[in-house]
Amino acid sequence: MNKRVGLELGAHPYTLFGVIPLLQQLQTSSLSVSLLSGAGAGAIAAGLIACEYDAHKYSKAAIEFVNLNLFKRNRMLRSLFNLLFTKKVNLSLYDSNVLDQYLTRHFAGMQIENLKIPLILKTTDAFTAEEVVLEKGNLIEALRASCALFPAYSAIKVQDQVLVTGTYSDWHARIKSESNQVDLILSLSLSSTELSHSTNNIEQLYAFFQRSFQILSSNDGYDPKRIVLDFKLPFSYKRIAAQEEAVISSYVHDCLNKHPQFTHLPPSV
Amino acid sequence: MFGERKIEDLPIPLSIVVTGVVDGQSRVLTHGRLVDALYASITIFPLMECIRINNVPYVDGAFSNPIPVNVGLEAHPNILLITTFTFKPDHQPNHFFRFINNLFCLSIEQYGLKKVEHWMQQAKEVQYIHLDYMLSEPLSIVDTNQLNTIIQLGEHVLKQHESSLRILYE
Repeated sequence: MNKRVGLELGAHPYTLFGVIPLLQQLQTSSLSVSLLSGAGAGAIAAGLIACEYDAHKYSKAAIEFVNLNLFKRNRMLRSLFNLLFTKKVNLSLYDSNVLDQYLTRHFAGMQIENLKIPLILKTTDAFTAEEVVLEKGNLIEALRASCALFPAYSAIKVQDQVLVTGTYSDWHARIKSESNQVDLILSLSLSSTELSHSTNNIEQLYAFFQRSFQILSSNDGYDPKRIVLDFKLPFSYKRIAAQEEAVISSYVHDCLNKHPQFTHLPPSV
Repeated sequence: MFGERKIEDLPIPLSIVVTGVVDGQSRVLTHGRLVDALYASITIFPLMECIRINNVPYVDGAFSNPIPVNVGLEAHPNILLITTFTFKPDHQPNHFFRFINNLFCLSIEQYGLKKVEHWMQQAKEVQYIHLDYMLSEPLSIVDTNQLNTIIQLGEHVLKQHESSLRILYE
């Protein structure tokens, strides 16, 4: 009987590409993913995998996501005006239309509970900062919430709760190790060894806080059920250009081959 | 207030937690100028400029280790007193900045509390008392008028833990 593998995909944008060699390795070992968990960019990756995108389609969708220019449609001036003159609190610095259109293109009409691979998405209650796990309901709404990097993007109301990205409560998108849905948990946690080289202050701040939440979320405890694939990539935390996909994938592939626990992964119990 | 005093010269050993800007990792300062270490440890980035110590830029330790219980445990104490400031979530923030401030403070607080729970589970032999100063709202960092509120709150919390604190004197 094959081991049931749970896959945790952290919020780092490189996760979208880093997960490709991981899935290939799992396929080679005849292991299949039986539970996916994601936060932030990891939620998008988890959503695409849960929809059973094949390697080619997944890669195309991942490249499409990172090229969305999510931070380009700047509405800073309008937001600043609102900040000063209105009492509205759920504002954002960027327009989410581009993200919404992407989600509609790939996940229209889907419900989380109907996906072929079970999926959990990590989000955060915008008022209490407590972790909120979405395991059912509209997939687009859940993904939008899990990616709602407030204040860059506005919070979103799902099932009577105002939610923002899971980055603020569970960057690593942890699966409970006592979960009886999985025998083994693989946690993909990518980080950059250096901060953004971007001259854009907002992007630098974004990089600083993303990394800070990643470090805050890290847990140094030993869990026999979990293999943490914690790879520090020698690239800056800038937004990814499409041509970097191959570089990141090949780097993670090398890391996986050298990882002591992963290389001895038994395919069956 | 502290002049040129060095951390290593203080009568009670002191460890100050800061965050390295370049790698984001937590650092524990036990040597060097006290003023620099304290300034670094309270630098709320990006509101305040980071400070360089030995040419390395540092900011507030809250960005990597907000409740540094692990540092306290390294001293192998018999009893560990943990003090935290938490505040009640505001479900109807009346301003955008208030909303952001709430979310970020609470998020860091939640991450910190999770780590405390994790570390204390690992150090089962250490007895600990958690003094949580629950505030009704986030404090303004520049409002000294709230000092009295904090002192009163402190007295209230100590009263609540009176019986457990007695073990300190036994």
